Amino acid sequence: MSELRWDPLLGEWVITATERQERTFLPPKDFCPLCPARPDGVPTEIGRADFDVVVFDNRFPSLRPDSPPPAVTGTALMPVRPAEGACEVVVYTPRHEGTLADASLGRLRRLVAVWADRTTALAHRSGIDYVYVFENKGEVIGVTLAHPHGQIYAYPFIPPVVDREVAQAAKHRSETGGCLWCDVLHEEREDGRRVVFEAGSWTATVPFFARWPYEAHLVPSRHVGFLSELTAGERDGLAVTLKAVLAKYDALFGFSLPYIMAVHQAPVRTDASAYHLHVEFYPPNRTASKLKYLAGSEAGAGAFINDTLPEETAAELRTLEPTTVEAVRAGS
Amino acid sequence: MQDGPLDHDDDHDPYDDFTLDEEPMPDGRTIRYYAWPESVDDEATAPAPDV
Repeated sequence: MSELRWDPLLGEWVITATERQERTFLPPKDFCPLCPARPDGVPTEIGRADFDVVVFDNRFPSLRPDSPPPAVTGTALMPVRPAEGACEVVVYTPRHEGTLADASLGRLRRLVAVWADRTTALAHRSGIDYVYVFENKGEVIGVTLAHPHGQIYAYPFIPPVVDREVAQAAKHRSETGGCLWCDVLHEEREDGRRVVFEAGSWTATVPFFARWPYEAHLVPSRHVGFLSELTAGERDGLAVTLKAVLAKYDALFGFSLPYIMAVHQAPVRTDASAYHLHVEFYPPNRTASKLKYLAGSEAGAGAFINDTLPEETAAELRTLEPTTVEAVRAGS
Repeated sequence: MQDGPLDHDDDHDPYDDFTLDEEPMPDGRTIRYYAWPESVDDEATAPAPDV
């Protein structure tokens, strides 16, 4: 059972998805549902013995094209509607071991092409307002399957964080005529203290306003709203910057760093020409052994408290290898 | 108003030359297999431009 319930207090939709309670939880490798089809017949989601990149409809979706009618009746104040949309799983590689950080530049380029293709396909479906590419990595983030994979959600509304960004971008354009991300990126590059990596067409920073100690924002220099609008060279720059940031993350504490990766593209049925494509990473670690939790101020009041200075955490990440595009290419 | 993502047609990305096989899964869901020619990584050697 899944449905959308309107929260009139915050003015946003909440997805109720009870089937997800039944989803597979950290199976051993021999029973991984994201591995290629096995000769011993133990079933997986994938029917072929080998593949390059695979995308399939999530078995336990929060949003689906044929969502059933809501199980409850809403009111004018608190309406309810079917949870229509899509939830897809992107399996990065047939290999069970490894992470996105281990991917070659070629595999990252394949993934960017898949993300762009699925975004375009889902954006053309009726009723879709936003396509969100993301990855949860690590058990502390809540990952239930270890096999390297990400997800794509197609929402029938613009999710709250993006909605606020859209509004802020429109306000900034109205007041200055400029792009909010272009102007932030310009200031970050001018200052330099929070820049983590530069690949020409893309820049990674720990932003001035970082909420997480090692939060990173990857922003293209050119103003585009969607991955599909990037040139081949810019997609190459994205792959190099992703590879660099992920390698730095894993070098930070000497273990494979958990994170949430959020690819923020423009909404698909709204005039969001002021919106600027970017990728955000939120690792939960504030030290090797301590996590940042969303506690009273963050969860209850929405006000983040960062225990670190972005200028210092950015400097840590910047000095970690790889520090140049050439080093990234040499290590791939 | 921009209605969804635009295709970039001002240059050619060899990684867009994938084959896509869509197949039904046993329970009615859809699975999509993306594949590239082995030569794609050799074709895509252009460094990211300095902007």
